[in-house]
Amino acid sequence: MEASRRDFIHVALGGMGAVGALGVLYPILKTLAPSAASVTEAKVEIAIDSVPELGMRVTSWKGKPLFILKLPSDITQKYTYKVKKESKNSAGKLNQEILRDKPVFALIGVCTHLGCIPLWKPKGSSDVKAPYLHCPCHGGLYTPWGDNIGGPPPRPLFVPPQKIEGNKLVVGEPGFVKELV
Amino acid sequence: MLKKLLDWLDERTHVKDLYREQMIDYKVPKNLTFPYVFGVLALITFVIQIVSGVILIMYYKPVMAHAFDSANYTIMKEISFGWLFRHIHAAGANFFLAIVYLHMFTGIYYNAYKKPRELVWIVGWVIYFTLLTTALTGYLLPWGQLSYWGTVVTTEIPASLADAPILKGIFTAIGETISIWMKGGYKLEDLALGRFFGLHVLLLPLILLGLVSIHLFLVRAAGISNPEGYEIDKKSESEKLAPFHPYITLKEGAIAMWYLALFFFFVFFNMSHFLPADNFEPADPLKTPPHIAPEWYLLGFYEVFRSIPSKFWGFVAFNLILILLLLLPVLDFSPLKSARRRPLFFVMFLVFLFSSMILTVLGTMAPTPTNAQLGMFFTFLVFLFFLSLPVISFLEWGWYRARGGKS
Repeated sequence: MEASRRDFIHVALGGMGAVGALGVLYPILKTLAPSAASVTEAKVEIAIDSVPELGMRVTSWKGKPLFILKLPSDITQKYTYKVKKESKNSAGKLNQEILRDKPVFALIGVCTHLGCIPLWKPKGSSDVKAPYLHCPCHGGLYTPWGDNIGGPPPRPLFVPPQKIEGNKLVVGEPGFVKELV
Repeated sequence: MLKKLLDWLDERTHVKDLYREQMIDYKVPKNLTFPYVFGVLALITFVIQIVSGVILIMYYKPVMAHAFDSANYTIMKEISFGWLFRHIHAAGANFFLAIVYLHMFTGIYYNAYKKPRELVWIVGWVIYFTLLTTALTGYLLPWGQLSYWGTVVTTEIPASLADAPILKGIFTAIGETISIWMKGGYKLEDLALGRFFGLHVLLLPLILLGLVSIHLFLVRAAGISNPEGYEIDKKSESEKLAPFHPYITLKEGAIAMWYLALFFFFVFFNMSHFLPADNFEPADPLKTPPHIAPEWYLLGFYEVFRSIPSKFWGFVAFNLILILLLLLPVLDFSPLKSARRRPLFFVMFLVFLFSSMILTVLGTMAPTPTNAQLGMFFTFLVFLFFLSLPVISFLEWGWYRARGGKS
């Protein structure tokens, strides 16, 4: 069948209409994307010097509490933690294996049990004689790297994408951690 | 697969009959000229306004403390493509009124307000009036200097009734009541903003939607007019008609593409007129901007109002023009239709067209005494157009009878 001039007009007009419709749909869908404010919130920079040794700074990243920790380099020799069997992050490892040789690192401060915010116990307690994270809601216990050692949490704390740039820790851009959920 | 789905639907809803009836069996005169496309373009612009408006309303906050920031920061800077929809909505408002004006002049030129289309014209007039209200209410929402002071001036206009030569007390009370009722108080504040917002985003669009549907229904019921100004007989003169689809849809579709190209040229590259810099300064009730004039689509009325020395008569004059427009089907009772066949009407139409344009231009200029005199002269010409219609109609009835009732 030979294409007539009217067929051409149909296709041309229909095609332009379709392109136009897509051109309209794209920005409409894009307006539903995160706003510029939450995009700037998606990158946080912390000066390494501002975190005290064996201390923790709390800030926020993408609206979630962010724990920045600096641990003494001999912490793994001084203390041993009995990590639970099922404690594996999305890379299939312990957080500790990935984070322990970094001067500072960031964890998402949300308990993987039911979403409470754990507390930092740098001096340990009568039960756990080592620095650890303790979730006050249902007694979840984590190592300083976020691996679960006790209580109900099913898996380690999430680790956001982060990298070290000069004397700053940049959270939100992949570096030594891409993202562990 | 698609065909099966369509058949399934058709068995239950008879959509195929509806399609055939509305798109193919609906016949349109072959000799429609270019200006007949403005109706479709107005419809397209209406859809554009609704879509862009729905997106803007998700981020706009109708309270004084946040209105300016939500319009100019959240929408323009934070939301992806928010600026695009603000641009589209602002340009769309101007294009909508421009197209409606062209559509109205077309209707006047071809006498599309005459029997059997009087109701089409009357409903169209109400659409125009609602559209002006929608534009005025929407203008306040960005809460910039021009928004604020433009609305201050608008809400003061009914107060010019206080200048009445007689019954001063009553007119003053009416004017003040309307003014206070518009603002929800003595000052332009949150109450007015909320009121304008509610009208602009809900009530007025709903009314417009209803009116536009009625308008379209009436056009279908009465049949579209044609440039030659006589009613085509559907049975004996079917060769003068063409099916709506594909002939008219394709033609108007192609023109719509050009229209959209022009529209988006402005949206992307030339917004400074539609979003003037002055309005990116937050509203300040203690400082009037140096130059303030209404938007171009009101300038003609503004010039009529301004050039007449008495505020009361200025107010009466521009409202009278609106009312005379509504009364066109009554004023023009001639049996002849279309300016093509009516030389006297054609001349007066040109007088009306050019006077409206000149009044609009004068509205942009400084109010010097000369300009005021010119304004009065062209106001007079506008009224002359309306007043000439019964006279022309009377003469044309004479000719019509003399020719034995043939046009």
